Amino acid sequence: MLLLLLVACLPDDSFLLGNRALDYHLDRTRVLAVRATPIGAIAGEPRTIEALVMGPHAVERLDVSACGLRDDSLTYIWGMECFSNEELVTPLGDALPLVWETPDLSALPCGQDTADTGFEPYNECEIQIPVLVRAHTAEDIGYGGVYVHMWTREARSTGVERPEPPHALEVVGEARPGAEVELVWRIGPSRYDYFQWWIDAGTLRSTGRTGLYVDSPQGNETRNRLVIPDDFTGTLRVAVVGSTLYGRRSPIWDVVELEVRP
Amino acid sequence: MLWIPPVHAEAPAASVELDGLVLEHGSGRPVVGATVTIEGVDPVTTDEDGRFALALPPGTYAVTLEGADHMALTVEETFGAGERVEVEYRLRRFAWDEEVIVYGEHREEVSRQVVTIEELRRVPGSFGDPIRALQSLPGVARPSSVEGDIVVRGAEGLNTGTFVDDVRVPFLFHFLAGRSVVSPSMIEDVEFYPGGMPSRFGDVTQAVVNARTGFGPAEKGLHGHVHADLLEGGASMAAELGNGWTVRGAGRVAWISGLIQAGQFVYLASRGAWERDYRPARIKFPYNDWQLRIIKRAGPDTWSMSAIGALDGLRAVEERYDDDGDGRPDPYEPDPNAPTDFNDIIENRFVRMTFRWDHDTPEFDASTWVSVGNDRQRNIIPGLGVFFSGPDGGQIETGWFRVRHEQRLQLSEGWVTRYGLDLRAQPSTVESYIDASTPGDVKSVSDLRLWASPWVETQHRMGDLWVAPGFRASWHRLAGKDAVYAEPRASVRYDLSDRWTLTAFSGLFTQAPPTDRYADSVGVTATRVMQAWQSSAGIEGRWPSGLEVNANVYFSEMKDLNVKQVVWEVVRPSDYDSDVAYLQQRPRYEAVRGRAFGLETQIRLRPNNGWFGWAGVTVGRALRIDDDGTFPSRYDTPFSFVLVAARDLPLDIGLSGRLRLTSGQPYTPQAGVFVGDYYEPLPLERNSARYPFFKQLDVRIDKTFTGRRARWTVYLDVYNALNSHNPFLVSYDYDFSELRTDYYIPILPALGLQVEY
Repeated sequence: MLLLLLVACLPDDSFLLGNRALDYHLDRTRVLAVRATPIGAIAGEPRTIEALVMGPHAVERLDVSACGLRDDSLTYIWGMECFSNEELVTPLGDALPLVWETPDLSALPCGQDTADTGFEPYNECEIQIPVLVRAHTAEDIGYGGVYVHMWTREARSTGVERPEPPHALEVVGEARPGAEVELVWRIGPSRYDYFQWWIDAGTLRSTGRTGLYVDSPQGNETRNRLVIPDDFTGTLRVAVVGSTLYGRRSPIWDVVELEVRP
Repeated sequence: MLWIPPVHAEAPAASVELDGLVLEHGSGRPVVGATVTIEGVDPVTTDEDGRFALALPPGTYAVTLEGADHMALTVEETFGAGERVEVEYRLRRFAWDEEVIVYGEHREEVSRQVVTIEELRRVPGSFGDPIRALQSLPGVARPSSVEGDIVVRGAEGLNTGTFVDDVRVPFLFHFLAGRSVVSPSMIEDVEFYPGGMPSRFGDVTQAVVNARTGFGPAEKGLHGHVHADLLEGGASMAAELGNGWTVRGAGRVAWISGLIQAGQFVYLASRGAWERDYRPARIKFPYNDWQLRIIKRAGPDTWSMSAIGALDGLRAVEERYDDDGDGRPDPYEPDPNAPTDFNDIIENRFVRMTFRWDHDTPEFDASTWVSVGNDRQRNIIPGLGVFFSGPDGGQIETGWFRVRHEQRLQLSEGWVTRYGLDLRAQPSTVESYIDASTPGDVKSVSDLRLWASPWVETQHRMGDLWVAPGFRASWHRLAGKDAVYAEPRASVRYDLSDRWTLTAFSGLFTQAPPTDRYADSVGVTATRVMQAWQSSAGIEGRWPSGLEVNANVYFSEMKDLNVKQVVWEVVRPSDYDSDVAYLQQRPRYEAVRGRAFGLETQIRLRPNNGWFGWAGVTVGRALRIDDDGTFPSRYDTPFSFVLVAARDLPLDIGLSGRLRLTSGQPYTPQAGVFVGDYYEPLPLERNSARYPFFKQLDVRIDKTFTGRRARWTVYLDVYNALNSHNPFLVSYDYDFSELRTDYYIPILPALGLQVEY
């Protein structure tokens, strides 16, 4: 109908920050982060795949797979829709962490000769492959993914993994029903751009997404405040994931468990 | 033959002169040699113009009419003393099987006629379009989004043959506006078979919709209709020229694009943008259709030339740049190096011209016609999955040449045999633009599709039993490969009593897939001719009060159904000068098996004391089976309830309403994959989820003014009067955890005017 033409131009709000900032409860099985380190690996070198999976139900089974990798050409894939075509999917394993022995693709033709143009040699020998982690529970399935970059010859400088800095999540205050505690996550001298928080219950004063609170050569810090529900007792989990824009570094995370007692 | 004694007879008084005309329902042709029987009066037969005359005493009579090739009709009539009465009756040809539902404009009918065309025109939400109103019948699904298809018993739209006066057309609806391509005022009746088609229909596997327009004489002078509403305007005319010559014609044009652009102009002008020579890209969706028929009758022979055409388009118009420096935005010119004009997003059009000869006598009639034409279906949007009929990212151009001859023989009383031959040639060219950036990249495949198919069917009544076996042989040539199929079909009716009739049908059907689905390098070359075996059984009941009930169980087993899926593939587009492969959404064609079964029930009150309406319940499934298992058809509808009710009010005011409660249509759900900062969609199991339960109320009110020379009807058709949120597109919230109902058609009042002169 005519209306289709009108609604086709409506904005897609799936990228709106506000939605994600207010979505921080571990109310279903969630794959909060996936990383494949080192990010700067060349095809043929092993990758270690890890994930942070949390939720209200016990995880019964994991499966990890990659999609779209070809041995006859470079592939650059955006979109987890790739996994809907089983012909394109490569199973990697059913437990985490796992080591993925990536194939050697150095024989693939790539790159562009710019010798006579005056431009710098253009290296397009890059492959981008999505990796999907499914966490199966008795109640639901959690999905998380990461785009894995590989270079067939040499990695770009921006894609070289740097050592993971030390980090620790500290809870300041007494964890009791109705109390408000401070969450402080200190990271070593490495810059992460944004931080996503997850909790079993309660309210996060600074929403589920924060930025740097302290940014110094000695170390970085982000903070949040957790309001514990009045009727909550028992174990309350808090998780935080630090990420960089454009995936310059692999994400890091910490999880703490608060024992909330009256 | 039915005969009912007079209900009431009065004492003889001044004689009544009765002048009658008997026409064939549907074609409007005079029924020659029909017997007219009234108690106490010698029977008479109709002449070559279908007329008869009688003189009889005033009173109430049962008038019984029967033609050798037509079903008997008994009508109760009351004639006053000294009257000269002109009556017109319409007889329906013997139906082929129990599935036929014929909608026509007539006084009475003794077939399983469920809904008259006037009733269909008053179905709310259909905007006066009787073909669109078919969606209110049992077993017929409402198509989703913008698909202009009739979806019957869960089958894809292409499995339903769409015809205008027996001539096949590629589509019956303007896909965006949803209006049928035949002017509503031209339609005399709609022949609809939800399954179990007689042998005279070939190259179809599920259902037939045959919109029939008039071949009979028009009334003296110039008559016609004019209509206008928000979307479009149209007119039709019919003129009797004398000496057996009749001309009929109709046309329609959409003006909604112009209205939208005018609104856009006003908006931009109010913002001052127009003064700065700013021209935004605009979307146009023109549609139009036209019909013309010239008829010459001479005795039992009728010659006619008919032409019909329709166009649907979706076009982006851009004139933003001033390259020629004249201070004004330049008109859009297509890029000569592009493989096609990508601003021409969708264009569906067809034209048919048919030359026909009919010879009609009580013992023998024959019909021969030659039809030529051309189709173009173009949709340059690849892989969106919105338009499931027609090409994806390409264009199909098809020539059309068809010859048909059929004859009818009256072998004895109650025994009629019909036979005929269909020949069709379709040169077809498919162009795929999916991977093309230059004309040289366009995949272009041509094929000459051939079909030859003789058929025979016989109808024999033996007391309460009516049997109709038939047989069709089909030879298909696709992509140079030949295939021959035998298609036996049989239909039975048994009258348990005057009130109840049992029906049954079983038969085979074949259909060639569209060219784009098997063309080399575009579709799947292994595709074969689609086949279906259909069976059904039912019971019909009718009461003198006008109440009718029927129930029908059906079962269909299908093979080599050619279905279009939209899949994600990793491909290396040729328009990128690189060695990198990317993920793309593309169409894929598969041959699958199919199975459909269900129960259709309907209770109908024929027009009576100012009321009419019906209620229908359908329960059933439409499944598809491939190597990965069984999954629901895209149109699988386990439950459907439709209630239509209409009331004639004083002052020529009509009020009607339609309530539809239907299972949600299947769709492929998506999960949200969290990739560190946002969610990406992951399609899950095919067609494993459903839209929310569909519930909608439509209301229509009309008022007719009758003048000396014309009848004016003003109507208000309120679509989705309760503003129910029935989404027609799958849409999720930001993390794909909940289905959104944003994309629905809200309450849509349409004010229209029809003038009949």
